[in-house]
Amino acid sequence: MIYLDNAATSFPKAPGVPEAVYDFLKNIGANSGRSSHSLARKASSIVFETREKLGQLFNVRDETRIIFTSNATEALNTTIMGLVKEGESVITSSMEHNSVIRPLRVLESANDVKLWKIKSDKFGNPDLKDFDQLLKKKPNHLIFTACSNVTGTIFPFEEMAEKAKKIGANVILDASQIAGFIPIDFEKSAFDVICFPGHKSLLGPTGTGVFILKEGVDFTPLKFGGTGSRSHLEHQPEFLPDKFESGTLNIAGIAGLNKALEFIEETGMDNIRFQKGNLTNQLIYGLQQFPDLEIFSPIDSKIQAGVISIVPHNMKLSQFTYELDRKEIAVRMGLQCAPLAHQTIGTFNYGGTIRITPGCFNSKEEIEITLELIADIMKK
Amino acid sequence: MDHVITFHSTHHAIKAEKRLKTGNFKIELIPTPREISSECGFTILIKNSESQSLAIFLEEDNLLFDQIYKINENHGEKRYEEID
Repeated sequence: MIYLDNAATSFPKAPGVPEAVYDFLKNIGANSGRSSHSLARKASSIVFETREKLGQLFNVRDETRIIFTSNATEALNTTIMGLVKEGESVITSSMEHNSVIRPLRVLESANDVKLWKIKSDKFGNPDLKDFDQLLKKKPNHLIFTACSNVTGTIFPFEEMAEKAKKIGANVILDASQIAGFIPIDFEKSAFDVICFPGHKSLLGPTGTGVFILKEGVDFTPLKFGGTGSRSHLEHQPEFLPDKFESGTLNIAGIAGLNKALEFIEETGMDNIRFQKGNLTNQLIYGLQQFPDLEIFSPIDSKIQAGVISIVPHNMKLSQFTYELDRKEIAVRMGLQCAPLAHQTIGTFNYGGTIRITPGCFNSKEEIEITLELIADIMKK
Repeated sequence: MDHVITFHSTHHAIKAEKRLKTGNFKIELIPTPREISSECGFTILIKNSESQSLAIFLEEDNLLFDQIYKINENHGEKRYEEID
């Protein structure tokens, strides 16, 4: 099997991740933040260390502002539902994933929230002039993706956040496709909240997600319940991270993420990006040789995160994907949970695209084999 | 004299545990004694410590805690005295 579906979730995971998950389940297994016995302390230490590592990787002064969730969707929902108030206005992009646009649509219809979308070109690049125009309307929030999960287009997300901050908007960043791939200095940045999964470029297990809050950013959680703290009270604690971490955490997943973060720190994000960049360039160059294949992703590696969307014009998407499946090449066909992005780049009516996403553990040979197989399929 | 420190959250308790160890304090994580109220399940017991040096260490290291108690033992009965 050649796995080229890393934008959905990375595979394989970083070295040692499966073992760390197994070790937790086999030898520790206890709950964190609650009991005081030695296994519970070990479990709590794992959660603590992982939070500290995330704090170092993203430069977060106070690690208690790093909140664990089960995925980026939960992180985004908690933040969006908590921060956006009735009647407020939001700028978002035309390339959003459903995990951003769906909660926003709910707020639009239920809470009279105004939604303004930044125009994009056909490669998913945001129209920055349009963005400047929208900022003149003084929106309350900018909620947007750092990178499209359909085209891999990397937004100038830091500059955009700074501009929005200048007019007093809250900035929520969906960093799902770039966390672990492009460094973020959270303290220096203009983001109020960043949300990301632990299982994509951070190379950890599924079922792990994170959001990080700037000092002073506060809102009502989505869920309430047992936190292991203030147990004598029927009211939710106000301090972090407990306020947002009701219920038992995915400690097995967090143990795996802990190991993955160690790998990223040792390897360096620059090296990971370089490796993935080379594979992406090789893939793009190869795909450009097929006249019947259209590429919907930017080819410049400076604005490309390794997500290549293609449409074959001489056969159906499903037929093409079926052939790849049969040959043990794992890619993702369809709308990739981002109908808005497909409408923007003009692929919605094709039923989406075939998305090929290499990871840092793929090899040159695997890309070569994939291109040869695509050549075979295109000949049919 | 022995002391116990209580914390709002487990995160702060573990952080303090790690730092106090580097400060050569003799410490142990214990279940919070019933006599004192606590925010979280963990409490740190510090053996043979001095109230003032402990408070200074915690403050200098910017460690967030809930309360420091001095343990007074009288005929085998422990009494927890809050320290300001």
